[in-house]
Amino acid sequence: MNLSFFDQFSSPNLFGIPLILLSLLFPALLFPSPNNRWINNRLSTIQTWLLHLITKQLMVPLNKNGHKWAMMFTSLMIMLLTINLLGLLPYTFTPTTQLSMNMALAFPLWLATLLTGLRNQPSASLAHLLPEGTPTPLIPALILIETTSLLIRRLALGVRLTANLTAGHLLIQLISTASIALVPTLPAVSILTMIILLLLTILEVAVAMVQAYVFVLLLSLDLQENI
Amino acid sequence: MAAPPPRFPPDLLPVSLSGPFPPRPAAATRWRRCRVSAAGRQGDRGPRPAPLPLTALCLCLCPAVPLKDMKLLDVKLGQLPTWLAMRDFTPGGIGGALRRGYERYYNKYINVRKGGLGGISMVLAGYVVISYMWSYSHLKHDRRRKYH
Repeated sequence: MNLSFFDQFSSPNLFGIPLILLSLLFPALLFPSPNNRWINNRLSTIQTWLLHLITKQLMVPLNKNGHKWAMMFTSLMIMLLTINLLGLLPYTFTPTTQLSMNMALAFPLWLATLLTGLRNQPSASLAHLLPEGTPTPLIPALILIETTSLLIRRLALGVRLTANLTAGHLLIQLISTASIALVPTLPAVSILTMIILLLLTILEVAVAMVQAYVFVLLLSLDLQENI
Repeated sequence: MAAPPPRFPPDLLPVSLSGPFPPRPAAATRWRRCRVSAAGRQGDRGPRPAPLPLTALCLCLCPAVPLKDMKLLDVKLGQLPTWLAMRDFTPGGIGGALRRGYERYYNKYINVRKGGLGGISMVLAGYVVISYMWSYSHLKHDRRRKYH
């Protein structure tokens, strides 16, 4: 029974304290609060630069009201980025591979954007449910379809993050097991597999960063529609 | 009466020469041993300080620090249980200790002019080690398994 491939995704406990707590709190240690010096230390400078870049990218398409969401989006982006990248270290636990956590992040935030839109401009929000140029007999069916697609998109938001990270971690584990098993019998093939492993690791780093960005981008697009 | 300008750094100034109000030692600098008598101690890594005038020798007083406030490396082995019992284990005390530890690490390795990769690499390596310890009970089954 190949239980051990999926063991990396079970949340380990130590004396009843789950490791997920530590994994969620640890990124806070890596981002020191910048002090009010003119020239900071190198870590703070790099992080401030990154933060400004992210905020600028996210806030450009939003109007003035949307800028109130800046802190929420930026902190979400930084948290997801850090958690995903830390999960690539050996023996660490990635909280975003758990579907429960991703859904807990995706659903409330999307619901907040939807409710904001319904509250501020209800007719415009409801009008999004119907694309332009629909033939009249099709309108009821299309409204149902659009509502379903709206809900499914949010489900997909959470599931996408989970699936990408889980698949990546699993692939890394499989290929590394294969390359270790091949070393005594076929060393040349093992070297080829290790090259594949190297490329896969680079891909995983990129995927980790991209997934975080995609998550936040889709939320901000929702906000753009609704605010 | 105006204090005479110090001819050597203020922390070498003996208590008796510093006037009626000797300076309070800051929290970070406790007078544990005299600089003068420590200069010839073995294992001293710094260069020997220049020989001081006779008036300053052996006039330094080392005021006793209460056991509660002594640093761990200065506590003698026999005093260790007493020291442990006197420490502050309230949530505020533990929070303060964690904050102090964090500040010490931060100011030594990260908040410097030319910090490098080492500061953050040590933190990440420690995180990997802690994660290994935390999931050891899962991992020990993989050691003798034939098919993973």
